[in-house]
Amino acid sequence: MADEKVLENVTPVYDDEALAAEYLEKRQQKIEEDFKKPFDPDCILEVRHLRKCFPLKKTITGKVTKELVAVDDVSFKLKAGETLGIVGESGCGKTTTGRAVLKLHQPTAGQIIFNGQDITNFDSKQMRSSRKEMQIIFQDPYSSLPPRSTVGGILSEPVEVHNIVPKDQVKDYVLDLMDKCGLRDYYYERYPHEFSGGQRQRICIARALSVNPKLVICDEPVSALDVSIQAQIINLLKKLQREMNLAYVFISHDLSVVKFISDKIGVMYLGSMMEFGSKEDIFKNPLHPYTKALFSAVPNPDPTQKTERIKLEGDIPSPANPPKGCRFHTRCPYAKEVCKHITPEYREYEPGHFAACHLLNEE
Amino acid sequence: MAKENKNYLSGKEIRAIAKANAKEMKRLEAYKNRKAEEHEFLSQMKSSENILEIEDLHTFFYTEQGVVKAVNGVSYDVPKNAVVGVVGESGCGKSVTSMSVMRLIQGPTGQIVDGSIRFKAYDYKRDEKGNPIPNGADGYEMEEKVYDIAKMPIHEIHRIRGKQIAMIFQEPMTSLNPVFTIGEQLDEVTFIHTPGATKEMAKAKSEEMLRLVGIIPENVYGAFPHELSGGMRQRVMIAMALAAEPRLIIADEPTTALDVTIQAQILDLLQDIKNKIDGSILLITHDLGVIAEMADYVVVMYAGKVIEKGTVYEIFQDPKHPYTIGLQKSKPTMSLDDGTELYNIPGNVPNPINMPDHCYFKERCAKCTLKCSGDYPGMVQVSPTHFVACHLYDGVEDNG
Repeated sequence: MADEKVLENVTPVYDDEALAAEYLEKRQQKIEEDFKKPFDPDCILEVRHLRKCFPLKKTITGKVTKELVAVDDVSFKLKAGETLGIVGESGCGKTTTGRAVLKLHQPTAGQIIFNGQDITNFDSKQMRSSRKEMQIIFQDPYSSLPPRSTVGGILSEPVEVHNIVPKDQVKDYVLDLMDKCGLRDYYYERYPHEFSGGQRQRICIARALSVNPKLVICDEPVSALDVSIQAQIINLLKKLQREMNLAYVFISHDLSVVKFISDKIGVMYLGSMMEFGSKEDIFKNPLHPYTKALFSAVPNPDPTQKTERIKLEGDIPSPANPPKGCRFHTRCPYAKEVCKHITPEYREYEPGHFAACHLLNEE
Repeated sequence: MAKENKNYLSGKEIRAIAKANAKEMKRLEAYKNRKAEEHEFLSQMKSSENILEIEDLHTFFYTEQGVVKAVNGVSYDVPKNAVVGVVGESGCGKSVTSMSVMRLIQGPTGQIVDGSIRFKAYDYKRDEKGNPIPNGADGYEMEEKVYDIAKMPIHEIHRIRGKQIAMIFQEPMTSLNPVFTIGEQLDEVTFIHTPGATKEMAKAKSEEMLRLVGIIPENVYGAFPHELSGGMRQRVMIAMALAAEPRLIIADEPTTALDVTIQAQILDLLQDIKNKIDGSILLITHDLGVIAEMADYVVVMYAGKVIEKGTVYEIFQDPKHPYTIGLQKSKPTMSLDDGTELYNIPGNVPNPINMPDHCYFKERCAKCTLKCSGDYPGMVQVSPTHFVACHLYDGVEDNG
């Protein structure tokens, strides 16, 4: 009981080092408890307290003296056939989260449970069997296709590497896949430079799906495309999800796209998850002040309705030197003294609706 | 499988194209660099309400694959104290139009071939040699002149570029010079455009402009561009554009490279500034939301042509052209409820080389009729301010 009091009725002496240490210790305990919990059998992907740091400065002996915390304490769950949308401004760590989930970056701390297995500490050999279950679609379709291979070559390579079908059936399999993704069969012998952005993105999608994955990370797949092409790609992604029961992690900075495609949404700011919940929760009842401000900043394509904007002052702080306490307090219109010193706890306020904000604890 | 592949040209074809291009480019370059008296590029405005009138503008690029008609007969007006939004997908020629207004088209491949760009300038009176008479000197006077920018020789363009029309570019990261401080770059504007300006005058002006865009000058005046964030740099760019007190600001995708919350700040700033200065804004963007919030008039472009123009309410509430309608339906909006599928326009933007004679949107259009295989549709007036280029509205002329 005494410990809880320390946390909830925070005394005005915020710069008390002993208090801060106690707080950190309690937090660490909670993280360790969470790690021991059994895996959720319904979920295809479970991420617990993910943390990823990049070294900024090293001494001559290779010791890291300064770190950039790109992702700090991010947790979420994703069921098969569902879409999780991650939104946030640039530099908030949404791409790093996506890559860490695929283990393209080795996480610094935390747990990634994919398909009932803890893959956090798998080496590259062990990862190989999981690789065909998880794939990624990149943002820029112009630089993510090899210019010297034909479309047929690009699409058959993963099929051959992972032995998806016998060798003599590879071509038929690829042609079938191309048809699913809206690519004509005579594209098989063409090179990527002959295609427009939208077609290239279709090739990228076909390549990701060629190994029958269960999880696809879509890292801003439509940001580089025009509005009319964007709609085609979004519809294609939705159609393929229904057909193949795919789970998507959809990373984007465009809120309207995320709203359209996602079942669950996570809002990130400066490396931390600010709010997480189902689409209805997040859009109808946003809890965190950042989520509210972000939504009000989106321009409304209806000239008769003028949205009331919650104005955010200033810029996003540098991730290399994030503010102490709640990371959002420098721009938050409701910031209080407590926000400047103590990082708010990421808690469940409604079933399945998580947020990290001190203001919510008061009511 | 189809064998023919139109992506490649034979050597013979390439040589023929190169020969024809060289001839055209030489002629147009000579016209651009000619010596001309002032009266040769003075003109008259059609309506006194307008500050800029673009009429039947053609800007072509002579490439190795053929002539790219990036802007192919574009006409629109920018009224005084208004925000005109130009919207369209990439490659539709919206940026090339604005670059033509600034005469920033990269020669010799890019050339303004035909058309006129009339701009009402407020300029110094000139002496016999064509030099401006500075403030305080004998005969100093400011007068209104209408220049035809498309006919101006390139060495006379400094009368307008930067001074009368300023531009805000898309990439705040690359539009500032990294080796000079913000202060030096801002002062330069005053030195160039105000004859007889002193250092103190320039600094005072720069600081005033920085304050106008919401920056405390003491922190930023001596800073280098890399020390500032994207939003701050875009503010500096706006300050720079305002320093010469232009009558028209061209904002070419001013917020595309910025985050939503920063975008909201910059849009508010642009609105605010438009009210403070006595000028117009030509806003070029692909984001319909930005247009709806900012613009008074909207011009929709597709494949180098204007397909629809009107006031913002007409375009958003009563769009006429199938492309405009499709564009609005295909954008997922925040207020949209769970539609199972997003409307999409099939196909791609046509290849800019060898455009067909019929309507460019025919292949992607759901409402296409027999008539559409005929000539390119002309502009039809459906209301006093609303124009559309589509055969569906032939004969539906304005009755009121």
